[in-house]
Amino acid sequence: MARPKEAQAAEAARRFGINVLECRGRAGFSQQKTADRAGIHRTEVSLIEGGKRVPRLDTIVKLAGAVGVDPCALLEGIAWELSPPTEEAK
Amino acid sequence: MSGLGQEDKWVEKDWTLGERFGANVVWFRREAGLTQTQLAERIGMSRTILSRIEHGRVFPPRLETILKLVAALEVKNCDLLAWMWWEPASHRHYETPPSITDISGYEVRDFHLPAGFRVSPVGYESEERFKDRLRQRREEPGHRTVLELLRDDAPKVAPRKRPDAAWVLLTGQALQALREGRGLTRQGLADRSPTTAAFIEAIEEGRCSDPGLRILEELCCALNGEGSAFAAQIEPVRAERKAAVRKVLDELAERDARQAGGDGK
Repeated sequence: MARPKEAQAAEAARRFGINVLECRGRAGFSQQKTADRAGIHRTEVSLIEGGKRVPRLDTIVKLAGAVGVDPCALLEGIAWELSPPTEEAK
Repeated sequence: MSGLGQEDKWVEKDWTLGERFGANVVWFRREAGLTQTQLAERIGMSRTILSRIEHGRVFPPRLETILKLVAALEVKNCDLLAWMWWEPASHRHYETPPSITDISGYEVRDFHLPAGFRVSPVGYESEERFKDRLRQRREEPGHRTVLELLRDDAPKVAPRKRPDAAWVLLTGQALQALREGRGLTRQGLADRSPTTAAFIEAIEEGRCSDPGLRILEELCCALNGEGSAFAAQIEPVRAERKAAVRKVLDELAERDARQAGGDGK
């Protein structure tokens, strides 16, 4: 049984935030410096790290570039569980 | 894997981030053998939106959409995010990163490709790396055929026979009928498939003496033409091609069995 969509999205955003925090810490950048390098606002970095915002592809690539990692490093350990089609048919 | 014309198009194109993502989705959707409709159903998205994502015509997709596509295509997160960089200093997307070695996995080259390199939407890679990438996916039964054909000792697949003029003419007419039935102009169809309006015109008017099977399949897929007269027209060619591939595979299997038997004695 797959979890409800909203819970999954929240979980994905939370894990993504943790990954960003980790990579940022490894690079030794502050939120402000990361935001400057990524060309986004500091509050957005803060929201994303707190898992309160679901990022879009462009933000993912910008953040990855800003902290100097491959974009998929930020998606490490995040997966989506698709609900099986039989369940939907019922 | 594809004609030179297509590769030229990829090389010359100035890709946006969305288009790169879309190209990656198309690439792996075809590898998984799914139609747009099937993939859209799997992730509970309308086919129209999926089509827009594939063409990079919508705003960059959200994290959830990326993850859903990864799950439905049964690929890795990296696969769909390949070939995307951001250079912090100049605040520009899509530049080749300063240090190429930082990008794990994919070999990036200038547009002057040395011999033996191939261009794919997921980057520029050597023949060796391409084979490696496919070998890693060995467990998946759908990819076995491709892998066997890549073996160094594999005999060549028999070349396709040139079709006769009557078939070419009929196919062109069927394509035109299907396209008009879908209410698309030639340019409209060209936008949805990896070809040009001029080439579609040539096929429809029967001026192209030997349109490739792959391009016909692409056109059929873009027109959502399963079960149409056009699909029926290209079916025998597809069957013939499949038979040729099967023959090579059988030959390989037989040779393997013989060698295994020889080792045993």
